[in-house]
Amino acid sequence: MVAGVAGLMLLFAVHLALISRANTITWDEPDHIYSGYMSWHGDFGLNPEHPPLVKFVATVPLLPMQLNVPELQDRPYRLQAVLGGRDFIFHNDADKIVFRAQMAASIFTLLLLLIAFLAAREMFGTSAGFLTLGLLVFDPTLLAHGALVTTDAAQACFLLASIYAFYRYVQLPSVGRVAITALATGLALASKHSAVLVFPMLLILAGIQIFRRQSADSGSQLSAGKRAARYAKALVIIGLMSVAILWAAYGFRYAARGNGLQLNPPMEAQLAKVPSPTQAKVLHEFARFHLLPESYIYGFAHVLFSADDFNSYLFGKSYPHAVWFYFPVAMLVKSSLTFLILLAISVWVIASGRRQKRREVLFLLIPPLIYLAASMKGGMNIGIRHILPVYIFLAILIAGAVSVLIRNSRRWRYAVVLLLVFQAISVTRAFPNCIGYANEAFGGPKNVWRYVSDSSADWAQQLHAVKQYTDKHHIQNCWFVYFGTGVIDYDYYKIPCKLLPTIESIWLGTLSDATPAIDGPVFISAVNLTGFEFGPPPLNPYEQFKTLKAADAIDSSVFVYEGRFEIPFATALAHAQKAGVFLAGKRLPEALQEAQQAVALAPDSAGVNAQMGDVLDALGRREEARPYYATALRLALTKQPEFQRSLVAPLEQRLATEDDDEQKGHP
Amino acid sequence: MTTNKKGTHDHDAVTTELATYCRNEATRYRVDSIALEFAARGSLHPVNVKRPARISFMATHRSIAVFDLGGVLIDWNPRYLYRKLFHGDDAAMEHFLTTVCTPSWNSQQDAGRSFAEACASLKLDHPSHAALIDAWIERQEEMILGPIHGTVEILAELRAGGVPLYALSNWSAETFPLSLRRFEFLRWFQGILLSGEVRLLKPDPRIFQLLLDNHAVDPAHTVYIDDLKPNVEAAIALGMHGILFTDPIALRHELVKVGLTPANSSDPGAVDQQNTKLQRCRLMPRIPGRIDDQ
Repeated sequence: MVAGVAGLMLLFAVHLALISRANTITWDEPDHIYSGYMSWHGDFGLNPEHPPLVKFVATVPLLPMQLNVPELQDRPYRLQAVLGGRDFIFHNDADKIVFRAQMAASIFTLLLLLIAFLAAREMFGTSAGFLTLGLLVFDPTLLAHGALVTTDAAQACFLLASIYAFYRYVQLPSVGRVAITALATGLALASKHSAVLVFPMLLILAGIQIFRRQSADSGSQLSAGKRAARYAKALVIIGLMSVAILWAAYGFRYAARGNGLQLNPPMEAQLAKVPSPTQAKVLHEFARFHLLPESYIYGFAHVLFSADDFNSYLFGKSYPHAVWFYFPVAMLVKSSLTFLILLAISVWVIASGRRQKRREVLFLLIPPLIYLAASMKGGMNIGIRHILPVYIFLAILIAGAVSVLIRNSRRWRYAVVLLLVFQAISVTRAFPNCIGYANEAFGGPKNVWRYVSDSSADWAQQLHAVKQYTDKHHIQNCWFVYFGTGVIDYDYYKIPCKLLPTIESIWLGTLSDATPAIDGPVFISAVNLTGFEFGPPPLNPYEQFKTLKAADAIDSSVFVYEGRFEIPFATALAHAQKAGVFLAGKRLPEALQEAQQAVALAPDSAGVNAQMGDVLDALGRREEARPYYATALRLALTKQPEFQRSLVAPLEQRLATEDDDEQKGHP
Repeated sequence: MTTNKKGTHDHDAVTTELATYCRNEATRYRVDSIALEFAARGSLHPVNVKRPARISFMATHRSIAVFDLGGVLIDWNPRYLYRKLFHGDDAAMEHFLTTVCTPSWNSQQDAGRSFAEACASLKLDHPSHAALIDAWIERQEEMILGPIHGTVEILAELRAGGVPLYALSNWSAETFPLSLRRFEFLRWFQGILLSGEVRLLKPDPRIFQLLLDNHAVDPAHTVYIDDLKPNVEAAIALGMHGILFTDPIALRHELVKVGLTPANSSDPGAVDQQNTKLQRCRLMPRIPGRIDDQ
């Protein structure tokens, strides 16, 4: 048995290593790795939206290395973390740093596999344990994200560990089992903010245990009242100990930053952004009495207010907000058919009473349901990875249900083995681009971008593959609309393409030399092609490519187009961005020239008109600026206004200020 | 925005509206032409049109709605302003509106000319009316009586049902922001294309095509709603399903037929009224020369 488990885990680890070698760093990782490294030096203020545990562990192998660390600048934390992360990774041996960090982070995924096996075996027997491993070792989402320096796998690991440990406590209450539950819960909290959902999970499971009929295996004949008292005491201990463990993750220090550094922006400004006054007040009180580490509270506020900032993309349609059906629909696309078929069979097995163990079923069903419900109500639809814990719990549940069938039926045994082999083949076909996995019912990985976006399809991880492609085809001149522009140091990989503007490049100040007409090949990341970030037409400057047939596709998520293309809108954005840079540098004549070119190319762009207004305003030509602001406001309100709402308030304010100045007779 | 006949609901106008409605019904649903001819000639013989079956057979699935604004969602008419300025002297007002600030003059602003330039040149020709001409731009808001509530209700239902909404209007880009501020429902559209911003007037097919191209809208899935027949015809020619707007009740009925909105359960009389209107179609005498005057 041990050899079997070790063999499967080794196979999984090898897969993770191969994936890590084949892909380049993903969008989120530079800032995680950088902030993790900085956390070892006492700074928890760079990436506070994620607690430090994974980042700590992932950066352990970097500690002995001689690294160039970018100098801290007084920038807002997001900007500092993203730009600092880019410089930290790419001013060193990027491939070495990334591989080491990813392999260290993989420990959580391997631990997750082990715990899942142990839980399944204890609940349903050894065959269920191996079935669980069989499902998870070739689970596309776990393979795709198992080695990444992000919080998803670690959170899934410790959520499962918490629930499993609590299950063991319920089976046979003891101080040791409470302590193990508390340890796992604390580690979950230190992995990801959404791990706070473990508390309602434990509460509901405890509540059910109090009121359900005593089962023979509980070994206890306590009354409901006494059971309630026991579980209440256990939950209080778990709560207190887990918070203590969370404090330990931050070195038992309240202040987010050491060495006299301050959070930027300060805590009050951060809390002011939280949309719910009640939530803001609770966080304020936590901060006031130092009940939790400052970085944790600050990051929690970020999670609460940033959720509304994300667009969604599903089945070819962009939404300016989250949609409740995103995760169930994304599961249909991103789960293997094996998983979906076995899940359906499991529902039948459980509903028909073939699987008797009700306690085990509840422990494996309630946590993922709570997690899925919270995710569906939440504001982020940027990847199936956000419901990774759901997959883990369901995999064990499936194994438990299916093990009943295979126990007495050779046919079922063959069928299940066949399904597992099919899953392995299906996932291997996507390898090493497991991020872009879609099951066969949706056309496989090559069609994934049509249905989902961001970390479910394209997470900017294809630079090795693109470089291989340009080398193989002897491409010397090309253009690239790359999702990771600005976040990832594209030049590091020596790809011969010039970059075209993206949301990230504009945000992070990576300039583009776009011209109104360009000759291919043009490479476009799936995220940019779909308009997930820019928005639906007419806001997406690359919309025209959607109607063209790509000459090729790299890793199913970077599309290659041959020919000559007119891209006036993208070029206008490049000019407007340069105008902004000149404006910031007080080089007003150059700024005006760039802004004029931008408006000439894209007179229907709200952002471009607003930039022109800003330049004219800075030049003191307010009368001329006003119509540009007015046009920008009209365009923001009439062209996909829900995707341009961030422009409206500043423009209204600008126009109101101009009106006031006019009334006061200011020039 | 061009001048329309809304607000002048005398007997002839109602008759004309009804005639348009009937004609439009025939165009859109290809009601048996002989039956319509009987109806148009005012035959009292029963006409076996079998509309429901025919309509359901012809119905196409449409999932996107494009609205005209003036006369459909917004009750705009310069008479609302000038009736005040002429102190109720309708004859003088009509004379002014047909000789000075004419619909064709206004449509040049809808096509992109600035009001400052337009008023300046018009005042040179009509210096005695300078104040009245200036009122056209200075008191624009008074030309709008308000929203056409029934249509706004339908718009709200479509929005609640997740139907992508767009607007295509002959309207000056210069004056439109006033309405944007005034009417919240104008922010429900995913896209609004104004003639004034692209310097093209409906029914020029190019402006329809621009809307379709800019927003990647498939005409085969689109319903276009306008109160002017040439505009509806232009939309139909491009593959959209055109609906000539007469009133919100009729619009609701048409949208139900194409599966875009459920009948408003809060308005149980709507269907009855609709049936009454259809009945009148069959009995109404033909009015030569009026049907095409929309």
